[in-house]
Order: sequence, then C-alpha cells, then structure tokens
Amino acid sequence: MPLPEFPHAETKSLTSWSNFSGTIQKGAVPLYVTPLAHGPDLTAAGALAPQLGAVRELLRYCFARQLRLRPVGTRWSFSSIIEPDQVILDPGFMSGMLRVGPASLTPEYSAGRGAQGFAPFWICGGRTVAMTNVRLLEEGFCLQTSGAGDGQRVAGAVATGTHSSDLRVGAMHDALLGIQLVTGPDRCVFLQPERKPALSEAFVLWLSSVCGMHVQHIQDDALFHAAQVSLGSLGVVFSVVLEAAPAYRFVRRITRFEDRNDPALWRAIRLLDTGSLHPDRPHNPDHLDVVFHPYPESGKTSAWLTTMWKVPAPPVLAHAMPVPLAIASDVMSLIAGLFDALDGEITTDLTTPILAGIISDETEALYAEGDIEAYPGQLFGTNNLPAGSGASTEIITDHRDSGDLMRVLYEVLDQHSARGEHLLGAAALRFVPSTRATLGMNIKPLNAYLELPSIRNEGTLAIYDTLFDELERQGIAYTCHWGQQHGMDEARLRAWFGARVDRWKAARDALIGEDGKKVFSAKILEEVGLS
Amino acid sequence: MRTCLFALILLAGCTSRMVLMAPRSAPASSYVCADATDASTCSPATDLVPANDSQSDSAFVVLPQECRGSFGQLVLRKRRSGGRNVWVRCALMGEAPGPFVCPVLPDDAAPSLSDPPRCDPGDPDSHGLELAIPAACDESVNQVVVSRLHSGRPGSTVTCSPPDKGGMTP
Repeated sequence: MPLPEFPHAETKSLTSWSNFSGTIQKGAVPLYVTPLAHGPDLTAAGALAPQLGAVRELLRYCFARQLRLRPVGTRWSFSSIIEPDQVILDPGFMSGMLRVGPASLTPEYSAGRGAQGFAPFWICGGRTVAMTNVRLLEEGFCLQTSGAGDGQRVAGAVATGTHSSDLRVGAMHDALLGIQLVTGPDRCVFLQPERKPALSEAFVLWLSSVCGMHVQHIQDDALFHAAQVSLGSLGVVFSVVLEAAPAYRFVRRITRFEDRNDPALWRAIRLLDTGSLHPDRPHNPDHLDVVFHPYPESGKTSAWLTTMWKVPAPPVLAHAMPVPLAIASDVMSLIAGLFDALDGEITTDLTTPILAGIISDETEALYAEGDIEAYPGQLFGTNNLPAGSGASTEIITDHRDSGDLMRVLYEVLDQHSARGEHLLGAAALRFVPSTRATLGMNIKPLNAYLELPSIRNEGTLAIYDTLFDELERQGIAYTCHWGQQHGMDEARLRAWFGARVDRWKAARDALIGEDGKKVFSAKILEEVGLS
Repeated sequence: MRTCLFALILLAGCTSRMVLMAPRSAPASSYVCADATDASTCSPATDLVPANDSQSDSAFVVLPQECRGSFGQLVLRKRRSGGRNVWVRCALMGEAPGPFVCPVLPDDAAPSLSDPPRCDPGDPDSHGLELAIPAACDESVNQVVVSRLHSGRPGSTVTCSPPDKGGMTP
C-alpha cells in the first residue's frame, strides 16, 4: 500500500522498532511521520505553520480512519506509554525555543516571579532536555528541576511526570506555566491556570501568528492540571512554557553509611534535615536522595546519601561548555557499569555474594565522597546505559511510608535471592513535594519515590511483581511512575488517585472528544482503566 | 579508490566503525547511506531498534563545539605518520570558525565527557574521504557512524539535528 504524503513531513514505514531499554519490541510500524525543521526565524509570522500543518494533516488522516497515533520522543520510557500501534509521530525537529518577552507576560507575573528573577521560556515539545539546558545556561538560567538524565524530549518528560529529588520545586510538570495542545486537525489550544496566569493575551495572539492558525486561549484549572501530566493522550503537546530559574549550581556531597538503618540516615530522610550530618551547610538542603545496596555486605557501605544545595552561579557562566559534564549522579550509570562488570554472568547462576561485591565496587566508584559543584545540566546529564538491556520500575508512596516501603523491599529481595533471583542494580529513594497536576504521581504533601533500575532478566521482573503485590497486601498505598514498568490496574490507580481519575477523564472528554479518544489512545490507558 | 582509502583509515586502528559526535546538537531523524561519501545513496532509516546500534568496536571523534552542530564538510584523513583525524569545516553563516582537525580517540575509548578531546585549528589540506551529509539534515548533524559494509565499502548512518537559534517572543 503506498504511503500517504503530508506537506513538510518525511513519511516512512518501519521494519522494526523498540524503546531504548528494549522493554517494548515492535515489528513493523506502518506509518512513521516526522515533521521537518522550521525556518531560521522563529519569531516571524507563520514560522511554524508548515510544521504545525504537517501535524494537523497527519491528525486529519488519523481521525478520518480512526487510527491510533502515538507521539514518540527519544524512547526513554520503559512503560507501554510509548508503545506504538499503527502510526508514530516523531517530533525530533519540533525543537524551537524562545525566551518569553515582557509583552507576553501578565503584569502580575512580571511584578511577582519575574521581579524575583524567574523567566518563562517557550519550548516546542520535541526539544530535548539536554538542549534546553544548554540554551538556558547561555541565557543565564537553569531548569528548576529535571529528571536524572537529560535525553528525553520536553513533551515526553513532562507528560510522564519526570522528576528529580528537588525538595522545594516538585517535578518537571510543576514548573509548567502553559501548554499548547493540538487536539484535532483544526483545533489548537493554549492552556493555563485560571489563577495567576503568567502569559498574556498578547502571547497567545503571537502564538496564533507564528503557528498560522487560531490558537484558542483557555484559562481553566481543571483542564490545565489534567494537561500537566497528559500521558500523551490529550492531544499532541506542540509546545510548553516552562519557568526557569536564575542560573545556579549545586554543591553535591555524598555521605556513606554501613548500616542502611543508621538512625542518622533515617533522621535525614524523615526530617529532610541534614544539619547534624553537615553542620557547615544549610540544614535544609534543596536535594536529597539515597541509593541503597540491594544486598548489603557486612562491613561495607549499604547506603549512599546524596545531599545538594543550590548556590548562585558564578558571574561568568560556562557558555562554552562543550558537552554536558556527566558526573553521573544517576543510578542508570551504575547499571551501565554493572552491565560491563557482569559480562557473561547475567544468564548463569549468580550467587548473592558475588553480585553484592560487584554492586559494591561499582557504586563506590560512582559515589565518591567529597564536594562537587556543578550546574544541574551537568549533574543530571548523559548516561552510558547500553541499549536494549534495561528494566526499571518506580514506586511512589507517601513520604511518611518511606520506612515501610524500604522494609518491604528488603523482605522481597531476600525472598527472591533465596531462589536465585536478583535485582541486578540498586534502589534509589528520592523525595518530591506536592503537585496540583491531576495525575502527577506526587499528590501527597511529600512523596517518596523508590526506583529500582536493573539489567533486565526474568528474576528482576518477578521481583517487581512481588513487590507490587506485597505492598498492596500490607496496606501501603502506592502508585507507579508513568514512564516505568508498573504494577498498576484500575483498582490500584483509583486507590492512589481517587477522584482525580474522574477529573482527568472528564478533562480528556472536554479536550479531545470521542473521536480524539480513539486517536490518542494508548495501551497504558487500557491497562489502568483510563481509556 | 574510496574503499581503499576507507580501509586504510580504519586499519590505522583496529576498529570497524568510526563514530563522529557533535556537541551542542540533538538527535532527530536518521539516514542510512549505502556509500558514506555519496548523499544520493542515503535513505531514511527504517530499523529503529537502539540495541542494533551497538557502539562497541568503535573509534570515537568529538566534533568541534564551535560549529554548533552545523557542518559543511567532514573529511576522514590518514596522515603520513599513520595517525587518523577528521578535518571539519563548519557550515555557520558569516565568520564561521575553523577549519578544524579533530583527533580520533584510541580504539574503543569512549570520549571523556568531563574532559573532551579538543579540535585544533586545521590546515587547508582537506584531502581524504569526504563524508556525505544527507540533504534532509540541512547541514545540521548530531552523529555520523561510518562502518565497513559486507561489500567492504564504507557505509554510514547519519543522524540529523534540528537547527537551533535563540530569540524572544514579543
């Protein structure tokens, strides 16, 4: 069958497709569409009309045939949220980015957050977090928070609830000020909250001008908060407005603990106060996370506490930063090291002591003691995880349940290691404050995120499943990260999100209607009862 | 002639692939070129399985950041001394910096991102194997992977990068 053609787009069929980690493998994909690059002057009238036109014509094609469309970024998600069906939209060239000028801001925003030094940036959905970091730094700003890595595209990172462990900001979706969605072939909306909107009517008029179509301006809390974490299912996220902070650096300090139950460690976790550990620094850090050894060895480190404080950037910024300096604060880099160290051992009988020693060596090398000062884009940068070999889940509980969460994890790890099944990775515990995003995972006043990245094998996946079941059996409320392998179903989702589920579904009905729900459907929605 | 030159360039090391990485760029669409020197042989990649793109057995080159991901010429060269390098001309408008000569890292040594190898100002001699950049990239490149195909000919996979220019809304 001949491929359809769309203006200003490259169209092809794929023989095979998978996500980066290899958790989702597809054979042929009949239609893969890439809108081509925009012109050099993004501020000119109609500059984005060809690119947006390509998206609109693709939507017209899909709506007419009721074909499921998945916008797919750099394929970092582990979950079925990016599993394609018949049609993929690749936003790789949809990467424009401009600072939002004074006339585009409301007087209230300019006098408030603006006067404090914060600045909104308009960013097209296909731009990578890495390139966003680079541009922001060139202009004297930084993202307020991001994920542990920087390879994702902005739309995907926001739509899946990407987070770090920023104790004040929240997750990436919590720095959103506005979202532009293409909800159908002839409808495009710009959403922002009713209260204290940051963007003026002039901004939306400008957006209509560069896009070459009327962009409907909607100030509505329910729709905006639903769209903050859209799961790629409320339309195509064409652009967002993210609020950036004046450029800053992190001072990072690692503290090692032999006993994973050390009272000093758990005091820091409970109170998010590291004053007794680091009396020379502010007692309430900006970032705190802990990597736990899954199979601690006697006399060796079993927990690595990372504490970070934001400090103003030096007057001369690292404009010439050649490539992001990867200090590898992320456990994905640990998995990469393990992959090399375990070469040839993954499918053989691996005893717990041998694995424990390898994990200790790799983690000690990654988390060296001593202070490092670096930009967030450097700390949360690249990793060298080999493609096709990863697995990861992330479980979110109320921060007050952190202790029980870790207790159950170690019970499950012990149970599985006794029958030769191991987590070939580590456990990372992070903390994120509350969100107003309807389906943001961080709905409690303070939330604990337990990530379990691993080299993928059957044993790892069995550990994940047992952990999901055991948490439920013990009555510990939880949800899972949208972008990672999950144990959610309709009942579990409702147990965590409650009426938020209905609010998100109502917003979806309002934004895209029945026809749109077929086009912007996704396997993960069916798995958790959101379709 | 091209095949012989490519073989010489690769045999100067022990790897079968060379990976050219452009700082300050991002991946967009990829193209497979049956002949690494002929843009007319490039077509959109249809196998999008990252695990098939293993970069082991590779020699790495970090292209000059001064080009900001935009390249007019990329030329693989083998020097009389036996060493290899890549001659680079940026495609930036106006007073484009360069040309540059970028070192090829020792075989299988991934570039240190914290201390990347520097490219030096280049001599005018661009003689060597000039790599094709597909027209669809419009000179903006994220990565080029050159490898010897089963036929012994040099092939490549070129990943374009979107253009990137700053500015401000009203």
